[in-house]
Amino acid sequence: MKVRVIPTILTDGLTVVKGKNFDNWRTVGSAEATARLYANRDVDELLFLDVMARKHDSIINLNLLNHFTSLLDIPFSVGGGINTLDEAKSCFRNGAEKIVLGTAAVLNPRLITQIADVFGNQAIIVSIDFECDIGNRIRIGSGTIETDIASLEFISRLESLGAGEILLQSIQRDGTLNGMDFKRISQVSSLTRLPVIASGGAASFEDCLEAILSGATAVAAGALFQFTEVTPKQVRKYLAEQGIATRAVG
Amino acid sequence: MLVGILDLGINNLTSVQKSFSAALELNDKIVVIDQGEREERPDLLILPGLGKFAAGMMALHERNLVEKIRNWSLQGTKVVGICLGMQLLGGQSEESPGVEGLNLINSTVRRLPIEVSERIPHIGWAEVIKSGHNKHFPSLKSQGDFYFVHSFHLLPTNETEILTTTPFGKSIFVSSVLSGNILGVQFHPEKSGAKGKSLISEILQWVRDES
Repeated sequence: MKVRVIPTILTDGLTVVKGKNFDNWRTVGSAEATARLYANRDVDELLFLDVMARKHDSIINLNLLNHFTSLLDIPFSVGGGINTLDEAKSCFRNGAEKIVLGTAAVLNPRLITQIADVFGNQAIIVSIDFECDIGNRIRIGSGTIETDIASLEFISRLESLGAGEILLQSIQRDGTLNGMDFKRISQVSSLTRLPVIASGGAASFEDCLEAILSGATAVAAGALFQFTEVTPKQVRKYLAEQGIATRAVG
Repeated sequence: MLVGILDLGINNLTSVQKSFSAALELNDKIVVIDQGEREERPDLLILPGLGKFAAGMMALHERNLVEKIRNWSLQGTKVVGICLGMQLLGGQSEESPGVEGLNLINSTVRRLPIEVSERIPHIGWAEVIKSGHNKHFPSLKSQGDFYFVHSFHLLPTNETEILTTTPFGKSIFVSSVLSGNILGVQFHPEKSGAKGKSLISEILQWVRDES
């Protein structure tokens, strides 16, 4: 399977924001301009996460989503505040290829199965937000609440629950450009047969390569593409030079 | 030309509709079809993908579309199935044993094989490799990947109907198939960038040439 390089676009429903450690959000641009930019750059895939959705007790702004769909001819996933089958359905109908479940998947794992029964398991990404070391508990609510659920045990159940992909996000490294948690990426990738998207801390070409060599099938990054000169295309080219299969653009 | 897009209630209607609308010519018309009572037969019928096999067939039955699609295809409508839509063109699927597909292409739908170097679902960009003779779709013969997101694939009984295959670990699966006026693609042309756009234009041209 060819690996993917995925820019993460965080939105508050109106603008593109960027934070640090799942907090300290600041506006960095318009969602539309960002989508247009990536649409013209042969990006593999995009990840849109609404970081305020849960707080506002809603899902991503569907008008905004619909607008993205009209601008983009590449696949994108949508997450933030999705709690029900109907909310998932709205995201799909408005153009999302996959949806991301976080808090809802942990609190109500049956939701994964329920959505998979209609839309198929390939349509569901479960986001695992973790703090530092192995063996700790899963965090929900954008990292604010620690549950008593062991993260590794939960991850090992995801495939049978109906999930199709895992988004592994390091809260501590989020937005830091401090490098990724390769140990954790490797551990999770060997624990599941599902594709794993590694996220949090990617700061260089080498980080992206190391994440892939650790077992991830995709690397997602926000700050790397927002605050440095590095583009997704350059990362893809670098990975290809290192012998990793990446997308061939016609 | 009249283009019909089937709305099963569970699919990614918006992106498919937008990508085909963008490729239409003057006098072409696009309609969303969500029930079988519709009288006017489209020249091209798109069956978009997303969802589980059983859920897709149930949605077609609920909307009285199963017989309608079969009849239209017999009367010359070109049918294009995308992703799950391609799989629904077949017979039975390992995803939903006991559920009968549209049977427009003599085939079965199988789970992707277990491969050491691969993970399932298969998600991402992959090449298509020309298999059979194909004069209508140059983009299926040229360089550049398409976007896939699936766990199952259609295997036609008649090998000459295979247009392209795609490598998956040490094995391959059928990524596009043409059986008379029925075309199936396992990837998503509407999400495959410039390459997907070319294929969509070629599909519309194919319908024009043969109408």
